Amino acid sequence: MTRSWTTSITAVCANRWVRGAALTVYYLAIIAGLVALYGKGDFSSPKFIYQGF
Amino acid sequence: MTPRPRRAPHHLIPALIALTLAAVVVVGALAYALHIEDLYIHALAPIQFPQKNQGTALQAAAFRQPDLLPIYGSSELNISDPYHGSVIFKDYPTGFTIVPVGKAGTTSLIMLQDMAAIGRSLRGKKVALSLSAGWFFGAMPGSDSYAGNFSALHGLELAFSPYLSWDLKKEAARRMLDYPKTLEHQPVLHLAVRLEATDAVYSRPAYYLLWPIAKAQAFVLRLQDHWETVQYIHQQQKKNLDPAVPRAPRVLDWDELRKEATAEQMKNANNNPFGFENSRWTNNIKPQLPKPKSRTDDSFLRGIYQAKEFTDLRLLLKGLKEMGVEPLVLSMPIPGTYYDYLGVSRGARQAYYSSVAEIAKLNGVPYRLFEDHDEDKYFIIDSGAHLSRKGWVYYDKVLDDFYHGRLR
Repeated sequence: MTRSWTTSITAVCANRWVRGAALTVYYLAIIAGLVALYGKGDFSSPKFIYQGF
Repeated sequence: MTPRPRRAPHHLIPALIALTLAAVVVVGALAYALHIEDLYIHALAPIQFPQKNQGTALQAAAFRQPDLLPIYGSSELNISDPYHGSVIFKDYPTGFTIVPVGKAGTTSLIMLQDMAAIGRSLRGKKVALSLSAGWFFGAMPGSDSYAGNFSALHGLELAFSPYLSWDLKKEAARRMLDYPKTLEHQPVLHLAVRLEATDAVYSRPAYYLLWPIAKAQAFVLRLQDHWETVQYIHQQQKKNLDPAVPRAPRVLDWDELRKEATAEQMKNANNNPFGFENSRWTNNIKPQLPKPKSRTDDSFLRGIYQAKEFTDLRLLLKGLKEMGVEPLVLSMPIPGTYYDYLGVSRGARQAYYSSVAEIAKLNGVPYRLFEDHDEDKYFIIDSGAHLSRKGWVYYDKVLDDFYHGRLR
C-alpha cells in the first residue's frame, strides 16, 4: 500500500509542470509569510501631554 | 549506455511566476485602496484620527479632489467649535469644505515632511497653513511634541524627495538631526540625513547609493499606510459611514456669523479679565497663572530671535514653492491682553508678526496674521492661542476667499 503511494507521488513529481506549480506555490507561501510577519505597519507616535495653555 | 544525470528542478521560473503573481496582487490591492480612499475622502474630511496625520494616503486623496481644501495646523484644528471650518463648510455651502490635518505639537518642519511625502499630487494645488504664535517664542519646539507628530514615512520621503532641491533637503536634514530620538530606529533615514547635512565630498554619491533601499522602504511604508487606511474605512463602514456627503449651496452671511459668534463667545468668556473661555480659565489657566509683569520685552524678544521655527517656516514655504503648491499662511494672533498682563508690550509682540510677514512676502505667499486682533479679547480662548468662535469665523471667511481666488 505504502509502496504504491510512494510510486504514485514519485510519478506525479516527475512531471515538470506539477513540480513547477508546486515550487510556485512554495514561493508564494514564502512571500505570504513575509507579508504576514512584516506587513503590518506601525504608524503610532509617542504620546505626549499637551500643556500649551 | 550511461544513465543521464537527474536534473535539479528549476527554481528560477516558479520564483519569477510567484513574484509576478505577488506584484499583480499588490497592484490590484493598491488600485482598490486608491478607489476606496477617493470614495470616502469627503466623508472623512472633517474627522480627525491618527492615520490621517501619520500616513499619506488620505492627505494625497484630499489633494486629488477639487472641492477639498486641506488646512495644516496643530491643536486649534482638534478643538471642537460650532464655528470650526469643518462645521461651517460641512455641507459645501460655497462649493468646498476643509480637510484639517495635524494635531497638538505639529509645527512647520512636520508640515514640510507631510507635504513632501505627497509629492506630485500637490502641483498646482492650494493649501492653508495655520501657525501658532507660541511656536516662535523659544529656541525650538520640544522634542516630545516633534516626536509625537513624526512619521518615518514622511521623514524618508522628505529626505529623498525628487521634487525638492538638494540645498533645501540639506537644511531640513540639519533640523531633523536636532531630534535624534526620532531617528534612532530608522537606520536608512538617519544615514541619509547625516549625509545630506554634511558638506563632505562623499555625501552625494553615498546618498545616491542609498536611494534604492530608501525608496524600497518608503514603498513598503506606503503599502502599510494604505492597508491601515483601508482598515479604518472598513471599520467606519460598519458604523454606517456614508460616502455620499449632502451638499447645500447657499450664500454665507459673514457679518451675521461674526455677530452671532462674538455674542456667544462673550457669553462664554465672562469669568476672567482676559476673555478666555470660562472652562479653560477655571481648569487650566487660573491654577497656574504667572504673576503680573513676570516677563519682559527682552526675554520675549530673545526667544523670538533664537526661534528655529522661523528657519522651519522659511523651509516650508520654499519647499512648497519648489513643489508648485499655492499656500496661504494664517496665524492666530497672540492673546495680547494676557501678554500685556505678563509684561510683554505690543511693540515687542510686533516682532513676531513682522518676522512672519517678511518670510511670507519673500516667498510670495499671501498671509493673514490677524495682528489687528492682537488685543481683541474674544478672538482666542486661552493663553496657548486657540481660536474662539469669533476667531474661527474670521479664519473661515479667509479660507472661503482663498479657495475662490478672492484673496489679495
